[in-house]
Amino acid sequence: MDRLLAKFRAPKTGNPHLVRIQRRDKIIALVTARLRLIVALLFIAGYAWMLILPTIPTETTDKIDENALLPAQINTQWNWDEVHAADRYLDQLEHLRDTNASSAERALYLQTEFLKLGLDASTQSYTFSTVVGDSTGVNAYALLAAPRTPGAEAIIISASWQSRTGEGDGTLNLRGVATVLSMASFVRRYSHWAKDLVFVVSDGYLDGMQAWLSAYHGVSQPNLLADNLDIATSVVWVALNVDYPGHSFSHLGIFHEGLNGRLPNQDLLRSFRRISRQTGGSPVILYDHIDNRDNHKSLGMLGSMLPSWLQTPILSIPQVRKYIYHASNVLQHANYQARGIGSGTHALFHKYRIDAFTMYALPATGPHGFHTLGKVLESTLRTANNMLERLHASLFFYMLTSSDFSLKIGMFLPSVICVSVAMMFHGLGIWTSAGWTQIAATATELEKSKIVVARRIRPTLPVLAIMAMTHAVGAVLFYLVNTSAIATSSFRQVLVGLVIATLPMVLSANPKVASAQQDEDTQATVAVTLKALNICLASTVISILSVLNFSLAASLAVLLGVTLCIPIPSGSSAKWVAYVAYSALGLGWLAIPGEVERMVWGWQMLGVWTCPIVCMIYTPLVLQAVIVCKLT
Amino acid sequence: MRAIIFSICACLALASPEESAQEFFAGSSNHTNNWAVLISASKYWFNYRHMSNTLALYRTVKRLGIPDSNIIMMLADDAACNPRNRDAANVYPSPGGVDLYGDNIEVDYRGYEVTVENVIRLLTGRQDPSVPRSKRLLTDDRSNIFVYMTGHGGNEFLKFQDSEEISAHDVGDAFAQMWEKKRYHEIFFMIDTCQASSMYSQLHSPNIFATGSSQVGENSYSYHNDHTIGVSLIDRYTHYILGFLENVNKTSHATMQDFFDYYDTTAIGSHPGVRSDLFARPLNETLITDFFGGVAHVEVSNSDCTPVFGDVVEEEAPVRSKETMVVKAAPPSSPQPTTVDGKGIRAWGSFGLIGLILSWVAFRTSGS
Amino acid sequence: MGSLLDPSLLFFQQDRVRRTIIAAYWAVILLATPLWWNITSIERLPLPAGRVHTETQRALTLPATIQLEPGLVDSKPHIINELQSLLDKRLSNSITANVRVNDQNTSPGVYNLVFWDKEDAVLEGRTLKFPRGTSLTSLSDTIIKLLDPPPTSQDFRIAPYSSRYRLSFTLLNEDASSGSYISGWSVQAALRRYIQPILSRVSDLHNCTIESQIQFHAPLAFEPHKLEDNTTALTAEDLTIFVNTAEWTLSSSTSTDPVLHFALFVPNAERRPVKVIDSRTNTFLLPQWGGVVIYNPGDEQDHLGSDALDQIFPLFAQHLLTLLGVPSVPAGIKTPDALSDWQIDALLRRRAIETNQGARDILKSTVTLVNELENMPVGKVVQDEVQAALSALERLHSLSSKSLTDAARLSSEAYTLASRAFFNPDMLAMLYFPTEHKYAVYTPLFASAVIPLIAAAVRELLAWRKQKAAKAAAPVQ
Repeated sequence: MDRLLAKFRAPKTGNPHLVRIQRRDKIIALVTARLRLIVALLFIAGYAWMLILPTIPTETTDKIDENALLPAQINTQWNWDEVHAADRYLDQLEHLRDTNASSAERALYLQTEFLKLGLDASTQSYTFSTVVGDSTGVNAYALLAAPRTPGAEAIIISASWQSRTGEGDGTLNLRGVATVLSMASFVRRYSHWAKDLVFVVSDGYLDGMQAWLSAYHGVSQPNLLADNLDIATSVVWVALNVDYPGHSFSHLGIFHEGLNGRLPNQDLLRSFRRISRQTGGSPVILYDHIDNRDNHKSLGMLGSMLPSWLQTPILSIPQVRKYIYHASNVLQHANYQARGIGSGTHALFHKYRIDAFTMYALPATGPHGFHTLGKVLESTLRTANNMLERLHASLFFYMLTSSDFSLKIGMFLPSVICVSVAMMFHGLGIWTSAGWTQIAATATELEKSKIVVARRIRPTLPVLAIMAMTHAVGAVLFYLVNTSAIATSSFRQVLVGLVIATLPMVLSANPKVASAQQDEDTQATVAVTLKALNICLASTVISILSVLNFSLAASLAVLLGVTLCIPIPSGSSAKWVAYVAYSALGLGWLAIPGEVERMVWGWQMLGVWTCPIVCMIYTPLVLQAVIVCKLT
Repeated sequence: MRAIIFSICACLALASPEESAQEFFAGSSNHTNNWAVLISASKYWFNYRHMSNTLALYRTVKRLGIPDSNIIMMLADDAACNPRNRDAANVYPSPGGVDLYGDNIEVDYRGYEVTVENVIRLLTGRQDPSVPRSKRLLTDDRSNIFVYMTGHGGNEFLKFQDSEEISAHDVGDAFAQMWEKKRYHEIFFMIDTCQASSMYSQLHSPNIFATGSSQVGENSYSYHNDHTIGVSLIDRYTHYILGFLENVNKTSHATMQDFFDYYDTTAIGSHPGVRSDLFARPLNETLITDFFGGVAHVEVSNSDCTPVFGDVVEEEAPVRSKETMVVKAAPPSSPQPTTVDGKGIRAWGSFGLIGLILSWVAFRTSGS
Repeated sequence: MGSLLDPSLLFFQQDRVRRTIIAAYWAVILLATPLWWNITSIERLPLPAGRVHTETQRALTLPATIQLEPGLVDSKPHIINELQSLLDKRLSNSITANVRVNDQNTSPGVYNLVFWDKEDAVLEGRTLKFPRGTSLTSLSDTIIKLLDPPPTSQDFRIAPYSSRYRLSFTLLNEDASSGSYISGWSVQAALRRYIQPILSRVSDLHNCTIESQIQFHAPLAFEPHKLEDNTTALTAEDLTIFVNTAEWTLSSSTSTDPVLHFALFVPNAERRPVKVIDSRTNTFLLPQWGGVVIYNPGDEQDHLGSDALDQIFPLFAQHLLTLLGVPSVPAGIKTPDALSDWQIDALLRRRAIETNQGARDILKSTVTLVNELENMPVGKVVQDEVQAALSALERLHSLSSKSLTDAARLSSEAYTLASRAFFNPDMLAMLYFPTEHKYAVYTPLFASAVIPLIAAAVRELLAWRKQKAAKAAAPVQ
């Protein structure tokens, strides 16, 4: 004990400052001697943490932080009359669908219905032009002003014409629209609404709502031509999106991811969960994954990926089933968040600091229909009605592993940070060792068995120039991808990828670069320096992105973490294999069918950042690794 | 004119009427009028139950006889006309209960006027000359006052309007000033908040007794969640005591001891406290109606005409000397020496701590 | 190697410059401290506590002089001493009686005792005529009751003293739409006849304003009992809730002067006649509030003329006298005056003593409270008013023996001033904040800035001392 303390206590004699410096050096030496071990441990820790995310003991989502909400404390008045009204609306909507009515006719019908109810109603037509295609449509919306108070805030109840099933594959959301119409006729009868209620039936899937919201908030986009809204109202705090594609439903699913990975305040989701269970009697799930513990047939994303001979024995263990269920949810969440397009029409609201989510009625032959959905929606409306200020009490950064459990940021963020720190340590290690070279020891020094090292110059400027060039290439790639010629043709995308993949070879053929590879004693090689800076830059990017869009950072960590740090194998065939592998890693996304279109469409229509990041940050980073590979 | 008066009054002198007066004293209290100060200190829709608490006691106190001119009611928010109220203009204490907001209520301080400063000004009487009569506490040394406060509270404080607090010391000082100016005869202080008992721990003027709905460290609970209106309608403590008060009428002889014996911890959900060490009379002789009811004395004149000089007005009746009419009490003592010491110790302690830090920084020479 | 903390080794500065810089910071702090203290302190001007203390010890005594006629004194010379001793024994401390022979100096405020041959005792002006042969004890009893009426159990009904009163006379029709109702009354004449004389007699004490109104819809808040003979009877309990303050506006609230209400209630045709049990005159008095008379008019009557009001206003006058605290004449004494001088004098004395006691109490309370509550500000206005109240009390003591009206006036002035001082709206104690709050506010502001300054100053001081020591140790070099 005394010896331990003595190590840290300052000696009584000697210069105290010298001692301080020596002590610091000792600590650093301790770390650097074991650097590889530390890096390896951090990588393992980071990846293992990511793997166990679905099972971390978390808090349940029972507690509501905002006292004003008071969810599920009312008796709902929605009853079979309203269900009957919804059925009548549904009949007319189906008629519109069967007669192939155009957007304008649909919108006119909706506006007429709203006007018949006595609400202020109007339509808005819009045209989007992107390189991957144009979309036009007509939205319909209506306003019920707060009966007894000046409407300083508003709640939006919306349904898009196309359901979010299959990310907007064309399934119609007829019953969702019918619910909105019926709800409009229902709320009119009561005077206990303290906020304005805005009913929006947007055309298409995401495009309609994007046009409407942009016009509502006065934000303009160059590729959007939309009417101004006739009926303007006030600040919106909460938006409820209804999605009901099937005939009946058995569960209500929560879709909550927003654009660029933003999430709504968790109090809203927790209230909805409580309301749906207590008032509506309908169980709540995340997305459309039914808990496989209830339903042995449903396996979720992950379960269905297992080979069939493995499924039965593994899935009979309850902990495994639980893990698979939660992991499916986490993966789905990461998918939506990393891609940045969000998981439904509600995604577009978060940009304006509106808390929104989509309640998705999971199609089934199950017991619930308009009656349950109406009750749940009415009760959620009453809860939102009770709000006195924007939701701020609960979490904004979280990860739901199921509708009952959520992870706080401190439980999932450090996983990616571990990986990023490991990369940073590794990169700095390479950098440091690039600055020193071992020189031949003289005889006297050999006796003392000391290793003699000497400084050498690192070719920083050329390396930075190379990195800048890769990012410039990335910018060019981004520009090219956003042109209609390339965005629409997958052949041309692959072509572009191949062209870019050959660029490192061109670079290494450059005589100046090639000559710089030789001298190992007075100057470090470009390859080593480039590798060091590449890893450090990647680590920085991952750290920064982790607080903006966790799933995107996690994807980068998974894709780039160990791959960038692996030492390049010697031997020319191995190096070629590495070259091809890295190129595929960096540019292979151009070959995935439909991916480029989706990214470009997201960027051009919704302002999603995934396309720029992938083009201008991810691809250049991997290109730098390719160059390292070529130059080694 | 004098002759007329003379003749009229001469006739009375011959008639020699007696003037009789009837009084309505019961029990041992010497007060002549009753006042009530009812305060609900919290805003927002989900604090409906605090408004309801106050209105329920207002109804009780009015039913038992205190007139509106003697009641000061402060409601920090308007629950009845809140746009979220499904039953507009009504406030209910229980599902299916009687509407408390009624036709005939007088709210003296409403909304933003309910502040700590206004409460203290009201109690001490130091109001701007322009404050109207209905907002003043015009009590004298024969007034019994019932003070009721409800809201969100904590250890020795009560939250007003979600933005400020009144501390137990302020309440104690206000009552002390009232005692100095002889603005009350006796005070009954009731408080229904979390950690209510701490709020009357700093009272030091005589003739006050107090009760609170919970002890320090305990919460007070709301009673019933009504699913029609969507909020809790009333607090448990107030709901429980209303059960007792409903059976009290103007002529009831129920005492304060009966009232406190009626407390039931399991029904209320917390341990209500009582403080009566400053109160001169025993609680089993203090009637509920001494505070909740509006005892009014009436003197019926039983003469044909009024003798300006007439016959005896009970001058032979046993006369109470002045001393017994005013409850003698020790003058408010200066704050207990222990609190002064406590304050002093803290002050000197913190000076010492800062001094230590400074000397360490200044005299650090070697070592790092 | 010396310590890095030795300033002279560390800095490339001149000592003098460095020390000047540090001293400059400290100079600013020292100059700013009084300003801060000034700005953050509560204005508490000193109150003359010593004077207040002496005043509270000094009680007011009012003298009364009683003269006996010379003839009586000559026949019974010891009567003066006997009467004097009897009076001294039984009068309260605040009044001193002085019995002497009538020496024909009519100084104001002197009472005369005359014995005569009739059977009755009569009061006339300031003269009390007694039948011969009354014993001295009964004589002294009567004189005591006239000069200093003993407190009765009824005293609580007297309205508390105020220099201004509003008298509000209201004619309330229960429901004018039900048929017969009173639409007017000759109230001005009645006021002139019955109320104004009283007010003029007490004008030294009170300044009163009168207002009157007629209301046509004044419903009762309860349903009175109907007896078998169709009369409505009001029990004593009913009377306590009779005045429906919620719906009857009985006085205009344009000022905060206390109001004495006088209500004349005319019930509905269906209810008539309404009788108050135990009262032949259908009258009752609410202590400190006012009086109510219930009048059952004839079916065709729609105006109350002077003859009707002659039955009613004397009742109001009696109520007014009771409320003002005018003591009634003792039993067995008659007086031709409506209000005898003895009664007015007794009222003046009573009010003077009451307000004097009140003023002294308030001043004492003010000083006690200001001492007790350290957070209570005392402004200039309050200080001035306390001074003025004290000077009024001092003048009172010098004048009290000369004129009773002056004594009453000064006493009420002192009371009003003391009340105004005590109830000044600016004397609101700052809210209580525990010491921890004050530290929590100041420490982050000052501590982080002050600690380095103090440390630097201390180091400089030590370095300077060491330098001096070093210089002193090596002077010969």
